[in-house]
Amino acid sequence: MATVDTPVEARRPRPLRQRLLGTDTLLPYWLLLPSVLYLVLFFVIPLSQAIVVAFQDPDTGAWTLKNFSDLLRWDYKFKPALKWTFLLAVTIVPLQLVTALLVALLVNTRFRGSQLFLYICAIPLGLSDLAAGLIWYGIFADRGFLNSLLYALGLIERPVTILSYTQIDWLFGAVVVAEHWRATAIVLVVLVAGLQMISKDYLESAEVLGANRWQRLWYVILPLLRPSLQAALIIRTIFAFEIFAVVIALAGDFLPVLAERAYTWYFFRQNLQFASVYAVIILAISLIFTVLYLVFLRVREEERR
Amino acid sequence: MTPTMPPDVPPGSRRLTPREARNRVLLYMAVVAIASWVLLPIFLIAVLSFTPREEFFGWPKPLIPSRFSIETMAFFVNSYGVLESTLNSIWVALLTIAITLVIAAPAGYALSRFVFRGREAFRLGILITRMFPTALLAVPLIVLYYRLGIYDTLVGVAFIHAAMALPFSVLITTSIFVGVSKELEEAAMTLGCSRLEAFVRITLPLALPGLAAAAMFTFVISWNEVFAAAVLTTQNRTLPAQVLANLRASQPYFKVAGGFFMTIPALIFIFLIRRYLIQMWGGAPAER
Amino acid sequence: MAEIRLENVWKVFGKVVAVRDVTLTIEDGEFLVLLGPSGCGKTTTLRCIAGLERVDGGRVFIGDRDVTELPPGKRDIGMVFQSYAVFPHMRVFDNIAFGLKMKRVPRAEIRRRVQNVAEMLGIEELLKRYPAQLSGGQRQRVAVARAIVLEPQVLLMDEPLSNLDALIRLQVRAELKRLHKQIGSTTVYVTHDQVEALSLGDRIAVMKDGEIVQVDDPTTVYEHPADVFVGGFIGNPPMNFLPGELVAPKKDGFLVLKAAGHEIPLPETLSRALKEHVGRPVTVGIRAEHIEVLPKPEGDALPAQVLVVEPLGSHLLLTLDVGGQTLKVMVDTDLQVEPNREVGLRFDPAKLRFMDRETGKALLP
Repeated sequence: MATVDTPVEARRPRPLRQRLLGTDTLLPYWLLLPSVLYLVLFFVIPLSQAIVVAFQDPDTGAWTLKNFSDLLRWDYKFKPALKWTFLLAVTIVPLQLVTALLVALLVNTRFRGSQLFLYICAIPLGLSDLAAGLIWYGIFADRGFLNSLLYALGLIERPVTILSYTQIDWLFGAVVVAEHWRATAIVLVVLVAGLQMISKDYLESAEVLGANRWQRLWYVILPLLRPSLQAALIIRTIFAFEIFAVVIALAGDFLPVLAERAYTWYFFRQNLQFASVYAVIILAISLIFTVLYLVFLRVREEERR
Repeated sequence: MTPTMPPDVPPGSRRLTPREARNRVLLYMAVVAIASWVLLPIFLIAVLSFTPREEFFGWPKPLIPSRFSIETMAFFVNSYGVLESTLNSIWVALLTIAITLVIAAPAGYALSRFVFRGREAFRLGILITRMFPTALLAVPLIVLYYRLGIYDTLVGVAFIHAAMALPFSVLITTSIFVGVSKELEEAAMTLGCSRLEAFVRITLPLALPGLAAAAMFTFVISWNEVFAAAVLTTQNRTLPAQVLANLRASQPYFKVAGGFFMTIPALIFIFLIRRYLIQMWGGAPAER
Repeated sequence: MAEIRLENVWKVFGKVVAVRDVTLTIEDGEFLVLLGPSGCGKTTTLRCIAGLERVDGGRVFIGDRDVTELPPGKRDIGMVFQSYAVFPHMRVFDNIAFGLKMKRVPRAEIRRRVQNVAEMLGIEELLKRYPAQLSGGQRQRVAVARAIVLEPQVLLMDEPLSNLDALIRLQVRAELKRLHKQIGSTTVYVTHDQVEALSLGDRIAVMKDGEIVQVDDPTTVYEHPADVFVGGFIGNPPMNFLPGELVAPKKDGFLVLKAAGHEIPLPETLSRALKEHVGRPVTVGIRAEHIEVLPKPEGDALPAQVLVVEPLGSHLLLTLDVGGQTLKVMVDTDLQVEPNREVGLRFDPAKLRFMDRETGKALLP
């Protein structure tokens, strides 16, 4: 088709109803309008509100960093919360990515029963973080199944306390296990969807050209999977910094994390400023990581299929 | 098949080489191990929830309790506020579904059917909203909700749950409508339907199973959501908010039974929409 | 029944002009084929007639009615889609009856008319089935039945055979032709397959880059292409093109064509018609079957070298080199040739087509 080089005859005025609901012009915008309005109402307004509350003096209304410095001064758990949230994220996310990739490749071999297997692996997708935390609580508790198993194996004689504030490393480990169990499914599903979009022809031509299994994975599958990897990483990292109910269920507030601090400051101490400061911090960290992923895992426009 | 092949060997049942046989055994061992890792915790909490009280505190715990008991579950269900908050959760989830579908389905339809200026910008906006931490949405809404008089109401919770589910729903409904060929709708239009009639008579019936799946996915999102529900309510709590609020003061069997109770509907819905789980994440472009 | 008239129709998608100032009259009861390569705007033109695309300029008439602003359902058309678009959630009967139900035709009459059409297309056994239980050819018939049961003034078909197997395609093609004779609706048929176009059309409209290049009956389009594009697009193999020049020798008044290093004298009528183009660089077109091949270069025959010999069953297709130009020639299978052999060529000057070398347009109508 050629590009425009002749002016098109001036469009005739059309009946009002057609002009407003015209199939090829305004109708899509009318259809999008409700979601745009809703998203503005429930995303843009809270965002600006959070920034206002976090950066304004509650008494004078002046713009200030006072809330942040107050938080640093009063909340002795701020730094631990930051530390543990980061440690949890950088431990859990890579672990999940590797696990999910392995399972996705397994599913993609299309063995008999792979669909059932995929469904089983996707089950945790439907579980809330609170329920998952409580499920693992049943396992890690003093008289839980893990202790019973260790006893049955003859490794211990009395129940070992795993979930205790005196052993914060154990708490950390328990949260990592529970969170890995709960939230790997989302990465898995994204990667399986991505793998399914890679045509078998690419793999077969690579095979004909002499690439072995590992070379096919490294030179064909992973590069083509990059958009999915990027999406999965962004989603998972953002959720990782929001980690909340799993921690509460397993560790109470003995393992402080950012979202738990926001909840505690609002719920138990009615301090909206500090809660907002935490919310803004979580957003800032999420944004930084998203940008990092977008830059370092960039998919050039020419490379897209 | 080549004609030289013996007729009594059906295709596919050829003898495996030892290497292939070994690989297959390894494959299924890995599959069973991974599946058990996922299923075992759910199985264990189910067992624990139906363990008699005396064995619940016993030690070491047997894998299978001596008898089936509903004491623990009964205790949980009869605890203060649980039944009420369960009903609240269901109401909130249904409201969320209604709000989400009414708003998301038209947007999904537009994205699936039309190529128009601003389409990519909208898709990008949708993606960005998925990145907002719940805390950032919920905490500022407290003030707004107080002002609007919907703080501590189920409608208020449903509103924010709908906001959280909307980006997913738009993407899901888009791929559902892309799955219903545009030509079917056009055929109906050449046969005398208006665009709306064509949608109602052709597209909607064909999209219905997918839309039901989207609704169930929305249900799961709402049913599971803890943080926003916990901050935006004080009396009219949803189930997760109720459990969370009582967590510090509650007995282990309350926690365990609560965990199991919250898991059941999610399991059912995930089972029902299993066909769509992958499809939801493979974003498809609009037809031209 | 009615004629279709397009007047200066434009359709623009963003920066791309899909249909550029198309004016075309399709006569009452005519079978017109819109033919062209993919992306030439033929389907968009059809969709403009159907009302599935709003035109950006110009007007569309069906019969005496200006339908430019009417939605598809009010244009009195029937359309068969490339994918058939048979509704998967309805039985064959309900698919065919759909349009009648929309028009609130009484139920008894619906049953009678659906039955008639189903018999006409030989699908009366399938009425209770769902589309998923049908073969591609059967689905295609359902789509046709659904379109013609309304007895529309205009029948529109968008590449209806392209999803069928080669064998069934041949069979359905003949059926469509018979059907058109039987119902007599004005029919517009879109295809990129020139064989389909030649076999089906009363007239063929060849499109390129959103414009109509030529509208004529199949023989004329084949024998007298309006330009180099049409000659190259229609026919298998496509028309041969050689650069040449028309010169006027001193002795008699007849013209001589200089091409491929040789001179071909032109007969009187042709010379007279081309007189004003003397000295102009031209492109000469000749169909593969209009070149005579002699086993040896002899007399006034043009010497050529055989490059490739392709047996096509009924014929041999030769690829020849003539003074550095490549020609495709169709010959009988009994000719003894092999690659590298020198042969002689003879043209019937009356079959030569002359085009302007720059514009590609035919010099003679």
